Amino acid sequence: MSTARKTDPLTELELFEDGLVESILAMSETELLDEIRDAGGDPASILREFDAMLVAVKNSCAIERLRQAQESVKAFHKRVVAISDDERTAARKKLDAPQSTAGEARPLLAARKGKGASDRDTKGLIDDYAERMRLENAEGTSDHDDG
Amino acid sequence: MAALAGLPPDEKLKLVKIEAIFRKGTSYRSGALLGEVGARVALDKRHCPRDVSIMAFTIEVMKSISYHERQRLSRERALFADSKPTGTGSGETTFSPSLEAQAAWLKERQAQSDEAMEEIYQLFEKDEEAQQVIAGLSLGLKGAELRNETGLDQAKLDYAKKRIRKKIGTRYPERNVE
Repeated sequence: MSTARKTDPLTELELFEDGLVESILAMSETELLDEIRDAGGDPASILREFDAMLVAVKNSCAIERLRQAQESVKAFHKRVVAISDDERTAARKKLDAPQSTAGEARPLLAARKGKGASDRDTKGLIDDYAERMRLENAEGTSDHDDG
Repeated sequence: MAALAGLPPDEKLKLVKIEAIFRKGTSYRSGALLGEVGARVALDKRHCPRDVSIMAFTIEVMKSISYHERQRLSRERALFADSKPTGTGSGETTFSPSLEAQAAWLKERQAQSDEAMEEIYQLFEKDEEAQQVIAGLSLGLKGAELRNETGLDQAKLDYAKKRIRKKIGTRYPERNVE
């Protein structure tokens, strides 16, 4: 045989494996089924195992993705700082202020199905407004610091 | 994942045969390497490019996982054998690989590959044609080049490849790391 072996065994093994893969890819369906049966394998059972493996992987990945999502939600909640009572009171004062203006619409307390805003709407609004005030104050402080 | 599940039966069977080749020298059990590919796709760690077939993609990812797993195992063996434990003062002990250790790791990888090739040749001790084909494939030869190098016509070449696949299919995965 004229072929001399290469000196790098890593490359040699890799190329040999690539050659084997190519020869498997080039097999006809009949050849493939015959070869599996000759080796004592059952193509139908191999296919069932293949499909079952995919289902198992899909299920375990769905659980993993759910766990990751739960971790993200936890991490998000850790970052959110609760609104304090003082902040709520300050926001309430600001929100109530336009009420004294006679004849003007109260755009913040939007009518809900014609019955006015619920307590929950109002509380949510106050919390949102308190958070906005906090952000505005933080911006003011940081502008002041920068300047 | 859906693309893998939707492959025709013969392609699934081919992937199972190919997986057996890449499992060699790793700790992956039958089906686990293919499952790892599916998991990486499902968890968005790997994406099949639009212009690449799912077969080619799956084979490449299996090859890559296998390469890194073989590398990891040989590195562990070589580095831990050679490294000296270093105290950090905090009670922890770390292993810092020296240049010598890294060279030992490469040597270990080469020795393992060399050993694997020797074993493959030994499987075909009495089959000179198969040995010629193995030598040609390990040089990266294909088609006419392989025929010229081995001196075999296409029919004989196909038959030799069949013998190689058959023997390798039953003996090769046995070399898995336990």
